Order: sequence, then structure tokens, then C-alpha cells
Amino acid sequence: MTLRESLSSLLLTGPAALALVLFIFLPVTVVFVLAFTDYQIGASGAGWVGLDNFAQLFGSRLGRNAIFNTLTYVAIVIPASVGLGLLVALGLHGLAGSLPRITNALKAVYFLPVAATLVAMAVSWQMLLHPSLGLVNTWASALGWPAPLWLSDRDLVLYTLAVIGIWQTVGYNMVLFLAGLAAIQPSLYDAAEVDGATGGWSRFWLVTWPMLGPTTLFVLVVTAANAFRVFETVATLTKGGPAFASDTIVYALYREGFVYFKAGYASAITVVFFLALLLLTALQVWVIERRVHYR
Amino acid sequence: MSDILHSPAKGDLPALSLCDVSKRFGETEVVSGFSLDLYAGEFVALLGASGSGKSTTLRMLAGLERPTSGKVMMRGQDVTALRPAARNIALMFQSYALYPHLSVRQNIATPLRQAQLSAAARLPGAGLVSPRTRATEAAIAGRTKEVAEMLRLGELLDRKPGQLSGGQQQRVALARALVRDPSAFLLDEPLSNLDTALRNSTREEIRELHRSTGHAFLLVTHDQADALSMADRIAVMIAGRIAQCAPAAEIYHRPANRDVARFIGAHRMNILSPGAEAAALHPHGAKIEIGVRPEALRIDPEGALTATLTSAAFHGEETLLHLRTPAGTALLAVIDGTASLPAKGTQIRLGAPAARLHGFDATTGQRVEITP
Amino acid sequence: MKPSLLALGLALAAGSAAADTTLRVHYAIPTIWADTQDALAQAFMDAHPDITVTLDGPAEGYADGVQRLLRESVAGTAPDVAWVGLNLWRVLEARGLAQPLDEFLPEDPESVGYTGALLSLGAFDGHQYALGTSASTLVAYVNPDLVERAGGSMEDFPTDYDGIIELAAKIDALDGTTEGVWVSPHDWRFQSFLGAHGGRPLNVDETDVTFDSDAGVAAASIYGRFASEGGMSTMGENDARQAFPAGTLGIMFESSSLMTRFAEGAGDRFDMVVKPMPIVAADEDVYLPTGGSGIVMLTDDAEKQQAAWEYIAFVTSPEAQKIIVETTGYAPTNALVVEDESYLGDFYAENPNARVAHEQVARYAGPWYAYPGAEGVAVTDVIAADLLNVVEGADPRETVEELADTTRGMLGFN
Repeated sequence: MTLRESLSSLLLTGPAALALVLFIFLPVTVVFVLAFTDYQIGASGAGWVGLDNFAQLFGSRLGRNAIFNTLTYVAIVIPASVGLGLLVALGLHGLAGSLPRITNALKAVYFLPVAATLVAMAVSWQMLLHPSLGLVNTWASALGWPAPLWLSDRDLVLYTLAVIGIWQTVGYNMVLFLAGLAAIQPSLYDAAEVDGATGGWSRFWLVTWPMLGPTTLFVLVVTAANAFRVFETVATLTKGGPAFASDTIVYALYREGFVYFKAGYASAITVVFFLALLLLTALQVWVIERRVHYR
Repeated sequence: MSDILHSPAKGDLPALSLCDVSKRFGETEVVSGFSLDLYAGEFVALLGASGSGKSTTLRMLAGLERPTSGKVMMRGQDVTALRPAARNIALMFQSYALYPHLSVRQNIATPLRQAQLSAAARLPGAGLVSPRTRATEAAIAGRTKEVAEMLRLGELLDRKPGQLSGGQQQRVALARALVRDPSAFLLDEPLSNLDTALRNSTREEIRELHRSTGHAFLLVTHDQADALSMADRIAVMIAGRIAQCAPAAEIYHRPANRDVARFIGAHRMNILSPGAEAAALHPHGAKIEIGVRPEALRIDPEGALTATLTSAAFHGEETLLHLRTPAGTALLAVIDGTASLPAKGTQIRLGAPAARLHGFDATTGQRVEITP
Repeated sequence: MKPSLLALGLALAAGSAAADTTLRVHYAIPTIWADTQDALAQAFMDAHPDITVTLDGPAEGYADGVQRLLRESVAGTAPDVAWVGLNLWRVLEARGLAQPLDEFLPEDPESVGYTGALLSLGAFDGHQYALGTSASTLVAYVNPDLVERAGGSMEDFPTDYDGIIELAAKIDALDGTTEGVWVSPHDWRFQSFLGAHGGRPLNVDETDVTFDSDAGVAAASIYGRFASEGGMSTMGENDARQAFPAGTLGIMFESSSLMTRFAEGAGDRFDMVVKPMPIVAADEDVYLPTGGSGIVMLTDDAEKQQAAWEYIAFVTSPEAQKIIVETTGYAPTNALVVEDESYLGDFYAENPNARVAHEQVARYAGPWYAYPGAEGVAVTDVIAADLLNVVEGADPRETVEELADTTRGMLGFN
């Protein structure tokens, strides 16, 4: 490459690279440094506290509670949302041939939660789940079932949020799986049929599931990243309550940083969260990548 | 397969037959009133242009598609309602349709595993629990290896399809189709994804496979060279119907109608409408269409037909002459590549041996016998 | 014609400020304040033609607003004057952003309507950093229909907690959907009950937690008794704020700022009645933590400070307070406007509920204690969590004592 070409390449990539450094790398570096200080938003100075912030996250009752809550939430949402997304996609894919109109309507219905703004949806959920006035408990009472405090019972709230989280992501996963299903060569199903895989189950194991491998990996990574980042529903519906029962890592990050103004500690949470997510994604890709692309 | 027959024997029931089968998709009838018998040991080609309904016919034979009317029979038994696996028909797909996540060994073994092992026994490690499963697994492994050796795949058994060349993939597809000793073997455009050099050797290989297994083979192709070179009989399919079903030579030399005549052959047959020009070639030409293959036309100063040369294309072995008769009919003639060419625009006289002329009814297009 | 004279006086004072000053003003919660702020700015500029007020785009809420102010101050683009939550101005004071107002206050603050109680809302450590601009205290919202169905009457509505709990239990027992009483397990509500019992959350020099007194235990016990005797559920704040206007909740202790919203929500279903907090201790020991907004001066430019003070003095004057009361439903923070019938007499005649709330502010207003230090806000969440424990059956005394110890640890009082 000549000097001229190098220069023009630099000219082309320069602004984007500069923006990346200025707006991504620099703030990230600042966050990494702040994580080791006791800086408070708006304060004129800060003291170096070493690993104290990290010790507080893993050592304090609140820090551990947020981590545990997040893990519980994720452990419910990932399998359920991926599984249901696949199930719905399989159903709609099968239905598409015979009832195209109904299928399209159903697709829209499933996708609605993904497209809808979350705050508006949160208001709807609040009304639906109201302990005495909400539709859910009105029906439950009419059927003689107990009417639980969906969002204010500390033993229940995390599961309620998990269900809402699943409801939010199933549509997105469904669309991804539908695309994956559409990309499967029809001749593979013919081959399976000829080879004697006649039942739905054996067709699924012989063709559908392995062929959806790359899609499933992608869906898993995206769902996991979203589930770990759960925030909006917590912020709008429960504010981490009651009594921190739905406090999650990202909500804790927000709480510490923007409600308590403890920027140093919030930065430490950010760093831990960032590294954990990076590690998880890398692990998923590394472990599963080799098993889904069949090379 | 106890009896290995290479030609249909009288009184024997066909291994596979379609009886007056039709198939509609919505308003369009893709296959209409199709009948075909395929005997054990026979090699039949189903030849047609794309969209002629040959793939649908193949799928109905295999059981992947249900006929709208008519029956599919195997050895005299109605199998119309049976699914592919129950018919024990092997099918090799144009795209090969190999399972990309399975090794060559697993791909080949799939039909046997599906047929002989229950869903539970197919789970990994099931052989550790049940001795019977273990025995079945061993038998399947033996048969897989045997078929793989036959198709020179012994070295590749642990590879994934993605790591194989096109020709190797094609042999895996063949092996998977052959592994369970099918009662008929259907091949869907088996050569279309191969380059020219590989095609010729693969044709030989498939013929050899046919000879050694003795199965009934049905080849579906749009390429007449494949059909002519491999099949004992060719069923020419045009617009959802069988236009003619006969041995290759007969199809070429005595096409049953105008459509077959024009479809078969390296170059499209010239057809002269009834009239003076046709009559000049053959006395019946006054009333019927006269067809003559380009390779049967030759420059002949004594020839009965006059035409102007519009262009000539040299193809090495042969030269293609594009001509136009005074009546305006476009003609194509193929002459020896060594012959000297007349200048463009000159009038030349053409002739053809009477034995190589074909007569067709002007309205129905059916063959009219005019040769002595 | 006292008010117009005052306005004239202010206008004259403004004359001494530098000509053509522009003041940048920050406020939050546009859903409540947008129209009010426009009206106030216009009225101020009419009286002070040499000062231009520009309103910054409002923040969503007070917490967002303070975050923005902190960010802006780091960037050096902070506004000159800011309306902030009465519980949040200490955040600005702690970082040296709020300018002391002592030198601007008149010799006799009482004469312009700044009573000692009202000044206490914005004072810390002997200095005045903020002036209240709108106020709210905890009041009891009552659904008279439910009270009567339960056999009670609004004429002799209970004035002590025992009576309220007894009545709540009866309302709760009416049918499956009715609930007797509800109050949020929350720092501010707890401080209100504490103050009504004569307690304080912190000692005077803010070096120790004092809510583990008998008053504190009594305040926490109210939560426990509401639940165990009055049948109070643990539903969330949003749920309760829907339930009361819907007519299924009998008595709700909530901020008086929600009065308009509840009245509109209840609509024709029932005629909501506001009752004052039952006061347990002697009047001189009682304080009710006051929510609402205060105004702080952020500019350190001497000339701008003068103009900023004109604005601050105006929005806390009776004329401006009249506008605020009439458009927001908040209680005023100027004593003159309540004492002098000429300002709000007509308003109170039409809104008797507002008079109840505003009289309570005038009589008992006190600072909403903010816990000092880095963990100050965090402590309030811990208090809320422990109050929920009491609601769910934990012993009030043990809980409050443990909570006090935890709080001391977090605030570094040990």
C-alpha cells in the first residue's frame, strides 16, 4: 500500500475511530478508574479506595441480594423465553401454510410487546396486576382462586417480573426462530421423511433442531444479554421493591449511581457487570459456536 | 432383493407403477393422467423441461406428495396412502439433502437407525443399557461400512458433509439411499451439480451401481444426454403428460409427436408447415408437416429445398447454418466442420434422405408414418 | 393594599440591580409545574422589566432534576436558580453548590411571611440555603361512603390512631374488595408519624440517630397495628393510588399534594374528605416533615445573585404563592397568604379540603430530614424495607432499634 492509500484510508476511518475513542473508550476508561474511588456525583474530589467498592458489592447483603435476584430472574427468563419463542415459531411456521391470515395476525400479536414502548406497557401491567382492581385478580377471585399481590409480595414479585420479561422477549425470539425455520432447506425434511423420520418428534431432532443451531446460539446470546440487563420493568413497576425483593444488578447500579449519587460504587458495579457479561457471551460463543456451524 | 433382473419379464408385476395419476395444486394441474410402470432391474429416465411436472411425479412415486387422483402401486399392491419410509423407496435428492450436523457415517446410517431403533434407543448411550440395541447398532455399523466401501467413502466416514467436495457429497447421498436395500431407487437430477468431467465418470458409476444392485432405477432429469446415455427406457414428459415412453433410440428416431421431436436431439428439429416447400421434401408434405433434424440436412446441389444462408457459426467439429426459405421458414442445418462454407446471403439447395424425414399431423401434432 | 405595595417595593429594589440581567431557572415535574412556571415568570418580568427569566427544559422529576444540576455544575453550565425537592436541596448544599441566602433575608423575616417553621424547611447549620415554594404534609384521605357503610360517621371521625384502626378494621371487613387503611412504608411517612408523636429522626447537630425513641417505636407500631388490627395489605404505592380513587380503600395516608389528583380520580364515585393527621404529642414538640419544592440560588456572580434574589423573593411572596396554590394544589409557604383572607379566601371557601391541609402545614411544617453523608439516600431505602418488615409482623421495638444501629453504621455515627 502506498503512502497515499494509507493516508486516504486513515482519512476514511479516522473520524469514526476518533468518535469511538472519545465517546466509548474514554468514558469506559473513566468508569474503570472511578470504580476504585469513592467519588460522588457533583463532588469536587474523590478518594482512592482500592477494591472496597468491589468488596461491598460481593460482601454486603444488598449487593449479594441484587446478584442473587438477577441470577434467579435470568435462570427463569432465558430457558422460558427461548423455549416458548421456539414453540410459538414452530406452531406459526406449521400454521402458515394452511391459515396464512391468522398466522400473520398471531405474529403481530406476539411481536407487539417487542415493538411497544415499555413504559406504556408497564402502566398496562400495573392495571392488570392490581391486587383488587386488576383484571387478573378479578378473574382469579371470580374463579375462587387466591388473589396474590403480584408486584408487592416479596416472595412473588421476582417471578411476576420474570413472566413479564418472558412476555416481552418471546415475540422477538419467535421472529428470529421463524427466520431460522424459513431458511431450512425443504429437501432436508423430504430426506428425513424418506429416511423414516416420520413423527414430528424425530423430524424435529433429525432436522429442525440441528438446523436451528446458529439461530439458537444467537437467540441465546441476545436473550441472556437482555435478561441480565433487566431494568425498565423493575424501575417502572417495583423500583426494586418491596424491600429490595426485586432489586437487580442494573437497577442497583442505577439506584446507587443516580438516586444515592454514589458514582464510585456504581462504577464498580458497572465494571463487574460488564466483565461478567463479556465473559458469559464469550463462553457461549466459544462453547456453542463449534457445535452449531458443523464445520 | 432375491431376483435380479435386467429387463422386464412378461407376467412379472412392476416394482413400481403410477396408474392414471393426476396432481393439482389449486387451479393448476401439474400432472395429468400419468401412467408408468417401472420393473425390477429396469433403468427408466423421466425426461422433461423444468416445469413439466417431472419432479412432482417423482415426489408422488416416493410418497412425499399425494396424487389428487389415480393410484401408486408396488408389485400389484396399492401404496398410494403409504408414507415414503413404508414404501421402502430410496430417493437421492438433487441438492443431496445431507444432514450437515452428522458425519458421513451417521448420514449413511440414518435410514437404518430410524427403521430399526426406537426413539429411546436412538439416544446417545442407549447401547450401554440394552444389549439388543447394542447388537442392532453393530449390524447398522457393518452395513454402513459396507455401503461406504462400495462407494469409495471408507476414508471419509468421520468427516462432516461441509468438508467434502461436490462429488463426494453426491456419493454420500447415493450411499444413504442405497444403505437399506430399497425396492426402487429414484434419482432427482443426480448430476446437475457436478462439473462436466465428473458428470461423465459419474454416469458410468451410476450405471455400474444399477447393474450391481439390480434395483429398479428411475432417473429424473432435464438433460437428455443423461437420459439417453444411462436409461433403458425414456419417458418424455411434456406439460404434465407422458408424450412418449420408449427406448432411447426409438425416441430419437421415431418421435411420437411434434413436441417430442423438437424436445429430443442436440438441435431443435426443423418443422416445415404443409405446403410447397414441405412437399418438395416429401410428397405427403402438401397435407402434413414434415420434420427433419438439422444433422440430417445436407448441402446438395440436387436438393429439393432452396434457402438463403443468413448466418453460419463454426463450432469446430461441426458448423451450424442458419437459413431462411423463400416462404420465410427459418431452418437450421448442421454440416461437417471441415466443409467449405458458402458466403452469407447466397442461395443454397438442401436435401435430406427420405428415411430421416418425419411426418406430423398439422393439427394434432401426432406422428404420421411416411417412411417406407 | 399591602400586596401591591410589597410588589412595588420589590420593583424598586430591582431597580438597583444591574440592568438587563438574564436569569436561567431550572424546575422539574412539568406535568404539575409547566403552566405555573410560565405564569410566575411572566408575572415576575412584568414587575421587573430589566430582568429576563428563561426557563430550562424541565426535568422529569426532582431526583432527575438534581442529577442534572450536579452534571451541569461539573460542566460549569448550571442555571442561576433552581426549584428542587425539599428533601434534595441538601445534596446541593453538601457539594457547596447552593449559595447561602442569609445576607439577602430581611431583618424581620416574619414581616414578609417567612415564619420560623417555614424557614426551617431550607435551613441547615444556622444558615438559610433554600426557601420553601410549595409545601405538602401527610394527611388522611377518607372515603365517606365506606365510613358510613362500616357504621361510622364523618361528623365524629376518629381523631386518634386507635379510633382510625378500629374504623379501618370495620371497613376492611365489609366485603372482599374493600380495604380499611393504607400508608406507604416510606421514610417520609415514617418521619410524619414520628413527628406527630414528638420524635425526631436526628439530634440537633446531626451526629446521632434518634428515631429509636419511644416516639419512633410508637410510629413504627402504627404500621404494625394498621396491618395486624386494621387489615392493611402490603400492596404497592401505585396500587394504592389506584385503589383509593376507585373507591375500594377507606382511609389513605398520603401527601397533601395528591389532593387534586385524588379528587379528580374519585370523580362522581364519592366526595373525598381530607382529615388532618392525628397529633399525639404536645403541639410544641410536634413537627410534620414537609414535602414539596424549595428554591435555591446557584449562581455565585454577585450581580446575578441580586437578580436571583429578586426572583426568589417574588416566588415566595403572597402574590406568587396565590398563583402556586391555585394552579398546583400545593400548600403555600408564606404565612401572610394564609392569614390574609384577601388572597385565598374564595379559594378555601370552594376547597375546604385544601384548608385542612394548608392549616396543618402552617401549624406543624418542619424540615424533611435528610440523612447526612454519602449513604444519606441509601438509608431511606433501608428504613422503608424495615417498615415493610413491621407491616409483615416484625416486632416494632426490635426492628426500630436494629434499624437505628444499622443506620448509625451506614452514616458513620459509631
